[in-house]
Amino acid sequence: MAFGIIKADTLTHSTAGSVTTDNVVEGSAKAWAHIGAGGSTLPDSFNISSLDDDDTGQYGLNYTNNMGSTLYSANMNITFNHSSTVNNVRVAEIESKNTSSVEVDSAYVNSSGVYVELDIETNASVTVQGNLA
Amino acid sequence: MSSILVDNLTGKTTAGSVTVTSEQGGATMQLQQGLAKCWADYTTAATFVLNDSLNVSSLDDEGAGDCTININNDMNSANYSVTSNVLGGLSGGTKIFQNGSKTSAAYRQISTNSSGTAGDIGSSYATIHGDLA
Repeated sequence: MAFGIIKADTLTHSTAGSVTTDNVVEGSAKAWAHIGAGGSTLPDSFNISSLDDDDTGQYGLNYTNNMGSTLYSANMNITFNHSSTVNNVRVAEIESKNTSSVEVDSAYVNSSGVYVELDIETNASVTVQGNLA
Repeated sequence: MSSILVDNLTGKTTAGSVTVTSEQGGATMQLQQGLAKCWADYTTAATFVLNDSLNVSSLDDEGAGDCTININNDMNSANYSVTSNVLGGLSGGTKIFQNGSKTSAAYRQISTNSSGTAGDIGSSYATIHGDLA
């Protein structure tokens, strides 16, 4: 065994219980991103190599280390200063996923209930969980 | 023997960095970056209730469906990822998004109906990934 490496199947805390190390690995987020206003900056992230500004309200996050398949969980949230005026609903969605990137969209719902894509006004969050390659 | 009894994991070279191998063995990732730093399951009603949580000190009732979640051990900056969801329905489907600006010590989210009118909801969820202070 190389110095500085421990191989184990279970971690046991003195009082808080045990967790198998495969659950530690599988339960950890494999990527996350804090996307800045306008969708052009990435102030902080994990396992993201770059951000693509694809169109109004459409962005791509490219992974540094790819996912093992497209069967993973991706979630997005938008920061918005809610008010009682019109067009005050914001929607975040996952447009598509592949092993090397995830495509996300931000939008608002207008007074007619129509979904209109909109650039990120303040910031947005994305988290990815699943298996790495 | 493949169990480790331990209360703390600290990186040998860098205290805040423990590396784990990916599920399929093709990559390594930093354990700390993948761990959720805070999560909350709460109910917004006449009295807001924190049903279960990690690293949450308290909730502030900001109005119908509008809740500030106070982080116990603060994040390093406001550049973190927070993703959310709800259980329960408002008219036309419930939307939830981060309300206003995030800070290292708190985040605020609001649930609305499809017209953007805020309303209380059975259960709201949020999870934070990012860097602790």
